[in-house]
Amino acid sequence: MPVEAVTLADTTTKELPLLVLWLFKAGLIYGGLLGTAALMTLAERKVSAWIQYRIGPNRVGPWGLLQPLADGVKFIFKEEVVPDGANPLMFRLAPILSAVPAMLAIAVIPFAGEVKIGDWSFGTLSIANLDISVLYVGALTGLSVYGVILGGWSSNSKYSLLGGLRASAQMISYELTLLLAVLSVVLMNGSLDLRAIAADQASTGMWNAIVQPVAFVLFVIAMFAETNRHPFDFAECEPELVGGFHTEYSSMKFALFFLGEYCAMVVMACLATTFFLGGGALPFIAELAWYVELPVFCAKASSFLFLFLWVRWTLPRFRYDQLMTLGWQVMLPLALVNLFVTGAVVALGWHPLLMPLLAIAVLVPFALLFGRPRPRSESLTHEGAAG
Amino acid sequence: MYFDYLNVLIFCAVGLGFVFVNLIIASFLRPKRKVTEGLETYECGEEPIGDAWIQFDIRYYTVALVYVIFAVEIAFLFPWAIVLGESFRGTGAAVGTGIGAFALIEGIVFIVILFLGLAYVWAKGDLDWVLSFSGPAYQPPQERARFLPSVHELQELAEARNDEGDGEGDEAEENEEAA
Amino acid sequence: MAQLLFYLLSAAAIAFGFGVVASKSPMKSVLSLLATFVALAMIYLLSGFQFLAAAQLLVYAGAILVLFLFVIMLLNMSDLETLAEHPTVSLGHTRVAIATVSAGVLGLIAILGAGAVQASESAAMPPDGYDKIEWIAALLFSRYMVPFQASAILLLATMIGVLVLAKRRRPVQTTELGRVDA
Repeated sequence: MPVEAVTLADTTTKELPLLVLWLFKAGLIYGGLLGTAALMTLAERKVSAWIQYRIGPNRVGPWGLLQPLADGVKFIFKEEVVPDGANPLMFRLAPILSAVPAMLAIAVIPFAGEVKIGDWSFGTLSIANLDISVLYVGALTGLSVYGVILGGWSSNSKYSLLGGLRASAQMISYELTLLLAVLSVVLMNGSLDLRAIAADQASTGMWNAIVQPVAFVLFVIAMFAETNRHPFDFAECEPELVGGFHTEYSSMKFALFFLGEYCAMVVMACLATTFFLGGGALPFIAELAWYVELPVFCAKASSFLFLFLWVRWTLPRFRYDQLMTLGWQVMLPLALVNLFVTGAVVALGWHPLLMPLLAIAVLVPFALLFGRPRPRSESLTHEGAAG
Repeated sequence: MYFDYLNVLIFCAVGLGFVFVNLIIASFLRPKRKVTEGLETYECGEEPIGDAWIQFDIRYYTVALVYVIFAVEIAFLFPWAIVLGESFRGTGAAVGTGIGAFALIEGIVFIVILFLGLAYVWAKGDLDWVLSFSGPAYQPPQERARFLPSVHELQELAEARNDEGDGEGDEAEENEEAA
Repeated sequence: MAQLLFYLLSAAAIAFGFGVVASKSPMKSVLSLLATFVALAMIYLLSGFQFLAAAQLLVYAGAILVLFLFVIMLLNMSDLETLAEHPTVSLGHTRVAIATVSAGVLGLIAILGAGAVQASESAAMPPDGYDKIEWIAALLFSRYMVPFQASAILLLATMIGVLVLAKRRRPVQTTELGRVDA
């Protein structure tokens, strides 16, 4: 692609109607994101109720659909507490730093291809078409640590500090695996553009979930850790740390942390869909119109969102040492080896379907041999500790 | 390209605007009370003792350090992946530069060198979160005033009673040594 | 408009850079540094170097600054604050003076650099047929092969060195469960 020799001034003056269009598009996607995040807070309670054989919120609106709105209004009317001894500037900054980067990543997600209504063309259904959107997402995930770490530190509460500390160490540990899994996808599809990655999977029909099974599993696990969700929710593990890094937060500031968490979940679900499930593509159908692609994309992303809730009520929480062992001693080496193998397969020009076969042939016996739940060793019992 | 980044900027502004509007609305609507009791940091109803800004374990620092090294590696590997992917797929700008095979070997050497770092940290036990349960036994500080006897004291008390009772104290002592 | 943005961002970078040195609280310094890095990344972006901008955010803002934060939290905060309030050596005026002078020099460099960038804009742009990241990769894997591998060894040496230094004075804490984490 040749370098565009357009300056900023030219673009803005010439394309002012386009600017309005983009603003509209931004509003649409932003509204969609916030709406989905709000619905997720309801779904969280509805799904947990369903799993636990309860009814869940059903008072506000039909099926409790207006519950998120009621929650929001309640947050606004709540008294705000800035605890004594807290660092006031950082305390106020942390929720903003938590919510905004989480929302920003949605800007590069390609929800659907070219939008055409009648003779009008509205461009692709994404806010920004960057050549390096993968890197943009990577940079933003890196920044998402700050909200947690600052929120934990500035509260001057022991629970907050420990929660923030644990969560930040966890997030940086799993970010490596996340990025390495994404790197293998980049290798497979030969592009740093999310649109191209999705389009490539759609055109070859080989979704990365099939040809990159290891990266897919690693990405999904790391996705849970990055968003501080069960079974990795050490940021706020209630039995030990009360509320974790947001113990001292109340009112709108707490709502912003809440919003940031759910936005991060939505973004991660969209990313997983784009990277591994071919975006809005359907199997065996090459070209789809945008009004098919968009619902397909949303359905795939929703399945990931449901997975978030399902896992929460299925798996118990990890212990912190288990989390660190899994992250550094299992997932990171596995991600590096997967990158190696992907590089070799791509370089030697072998068929990509060799990857899942190789993964099954190597990982399944390995898991059977070494993956058994080990009995607790002697040294871990209390006698060992006391003696 | 600039225009797309401008979109990101607008989007960022919209996001920040939403956040600030919410915060400002809430600041007007919420009740304001001048009560100081609620302002203490939460510590399960106890009065908090001292600051929370304690010195924490150095392993968090180790983790952050290893993370920095690998983040740099990943930043270098993005061009590597893109060049490799493009040149072997035959699409994109890297085609025809003949850089593919060379880049593959170089990238693998790069990964191996940094993997040595991970192996070093691993071998040194810095990635093991539970350091050791076989360290020296816990000695309770002697000068601490207690209202309730500790487990150790209770054990000693029980052993003393055993001694008085039926003279089987030797066996109890042996058991303790074995443990 | 690009020029205006450049000057705005440069001013922001310099101002926040000044904040890094002038602030008494180490936490505020780190946040100022974060803002400086973001402003720098946007300047890179404005000059057309997308990959550099992303790498700046990924490596400096995302990783190195987090390490800084951990270092600050590793130190005892109350010690640091008392040190800031009652410095053993009176650094106040000297520090401000140094900060001002360096900010001035940096500003001068930035202004001169802006002119230089404008003059050599065509020369700095990658040749046709290369997208930005491929251009960097092509140079990285051919002409700058040795520095590239040297950087890997440097990183390895740094990591091992820092770990050796850090672990030399590790306090051994024993509690009822043996040794525990923080």
